[in-house]
Amino acid sequence: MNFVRRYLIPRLISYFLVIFVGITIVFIVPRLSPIDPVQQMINTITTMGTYMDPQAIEKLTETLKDLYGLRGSLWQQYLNFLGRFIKGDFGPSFFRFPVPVSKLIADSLPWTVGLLSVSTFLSWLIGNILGGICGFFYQKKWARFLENTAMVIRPIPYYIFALILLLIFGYFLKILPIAGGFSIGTTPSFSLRFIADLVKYALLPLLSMMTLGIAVTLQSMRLIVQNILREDFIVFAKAGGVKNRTLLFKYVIRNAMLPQITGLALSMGQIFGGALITEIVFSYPGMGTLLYNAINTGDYNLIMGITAISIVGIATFILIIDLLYPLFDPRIRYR
Amino acid sequence: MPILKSENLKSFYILDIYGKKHVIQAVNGVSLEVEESEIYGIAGESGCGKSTLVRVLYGMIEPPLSLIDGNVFYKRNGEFISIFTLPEEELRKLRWEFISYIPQGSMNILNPVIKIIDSFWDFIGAHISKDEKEKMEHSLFEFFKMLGLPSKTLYAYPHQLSGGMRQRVIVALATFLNPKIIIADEPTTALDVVAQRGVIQLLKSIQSFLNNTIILVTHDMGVHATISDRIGIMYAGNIIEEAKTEEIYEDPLHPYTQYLIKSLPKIGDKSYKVSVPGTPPSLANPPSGCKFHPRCNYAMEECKLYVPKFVEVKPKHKVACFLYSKEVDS
Repeated sequence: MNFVRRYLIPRLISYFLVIFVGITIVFIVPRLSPIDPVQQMINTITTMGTYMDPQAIEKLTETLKDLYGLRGSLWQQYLNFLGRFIKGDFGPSFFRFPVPVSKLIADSLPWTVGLLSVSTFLSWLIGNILGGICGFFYQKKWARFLENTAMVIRPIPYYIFALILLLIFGYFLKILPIAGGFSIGTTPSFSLRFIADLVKYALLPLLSMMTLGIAVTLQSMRLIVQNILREDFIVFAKAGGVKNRTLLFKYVIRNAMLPQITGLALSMGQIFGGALITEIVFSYPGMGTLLYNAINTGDYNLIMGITAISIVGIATFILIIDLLYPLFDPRIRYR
Repeated sequence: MPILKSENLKSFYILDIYGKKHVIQAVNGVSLEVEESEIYGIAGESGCGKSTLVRVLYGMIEPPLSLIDGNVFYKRNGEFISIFTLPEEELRKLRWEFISYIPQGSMNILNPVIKIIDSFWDFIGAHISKDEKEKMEHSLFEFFKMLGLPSKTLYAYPHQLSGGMRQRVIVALATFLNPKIIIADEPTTALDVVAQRGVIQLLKSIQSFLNNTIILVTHDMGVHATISDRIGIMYAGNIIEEAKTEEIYEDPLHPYTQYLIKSLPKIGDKSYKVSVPGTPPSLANPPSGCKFHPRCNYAMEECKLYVPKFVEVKPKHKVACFLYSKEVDS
């Protein structure tokens, strides 16, 4: 009961507050821009050479205002927007009119979530294990080697890294496909063949993101572990002759994991925004590509939809980790 | 009969700062013998190498600290073994069973994410077999009861205990396997006076009950007066005087010890206390000859040139000062 009142409820409140504030900002920012989307649309149509009489333009303006949610006073627009947000309705997309935004997001989301959750989680896991071992055995030669390798890999921009991988495996060796999410001509299904196809297409983007992700996690984990090794309880445990295995896993890694778990929650939340550049390099049909197209075509509804999904995603993951955190760190319990 | 002895122990911190080597002579030729079931106190000002000395005596030498010369012997089953020639695994086994270590009290002395009892089994379990562990479970509660600790502290997390409580748990942890020697490195420093008394009394009662040897490091002369049997005074990496506690307090020989004893407040005495002139010497660049000579009122010409030998000038009273013996340390 204490847990619910002093831990759960405050966090739920802050969860909804974060989403509410985020969504409000999503609503305000496009309205601060000097571009009038309705006028822009009409301009696009008229520059194409179509003649429209003033009455038709009037009608079009009204329809567009409806579609953009621009009818009424700012306050009314805001209430309408909130109401539609709760229903998951962001209006129609403009670059693929009249497909609704929610449908576009629903189509892209599984690709992105599938690809990024696997790469984020795996690189976090592998990076932490390697970094933990590296930090613990920092005097060994192989640990230095591993650490230096990570140091060389980390500053490479990942689009360069992705391009190099693409060139090597897709162009010269020709063993992996260059672009797309699955072979053209196959229909998505739950057959073994399709899954194998999926993995084959996902391999290069995964590899490019994971290599860099592992290097980053490894370095931060190694630093945390080295700091923890200097803590009094490690020195004392060593003096007490605690076995090395226990020392590494129960004393060093368990304590070093605490900040890393928060890091995982943050990066897991970010996957809803997609990996913009990676997806473009590999022409992967995910949220990143969608966002890119939306920005290019000035598709306000779509941008707002994707941003709203990201906000909910990040906030949800932080909430989950917040609720799970007492399991990892007893000091957080009930306070 | 000594149970632990060191011979000409030298251990320096070797630091490499921007390619320039710095050598800090933290322990510089210490020879001491600790008798069985006595409480041997080591006193001295901050930065004189007390903590480093006990670390070396315990065999905890990790870079940047390195052993330069000398040896440490533990007497086990009637014969002296040199700890630096022991394989690492042997030394690990010796710890807690034969010699244990109580560190300075601090917030983070126990793993913060596991319960006290888990810490206990991590420490104890590393030295006993599984069968023994089951038998010990009961005696652990008995032991806690004997030390006046409620058994529910075993199921608490370290952050739920007060500083004094935590330090008493540490004392319990370090003495549970009944080690022959307990090294206590400033066990009471971070505590308030009431908690200090609790910890000191606990240590003392354990010692009189189990008859172990304690090497107690603290700069608190009051603590030494209460429980130490013999005291070694350390100055700049060396032990400069060693005698029975009463002897040190009543008849200090070395000028540094004299300053130390004179500075202690006494009830009813309102006279002005004189502190040692000057500042503690840098261990990276210590003075020549007797390291105390720049601060000493009695300094003679030979003090600047030669190091006085640590000799017995009265029965069981050793001192390294040219005022009492002209023997020179080679």
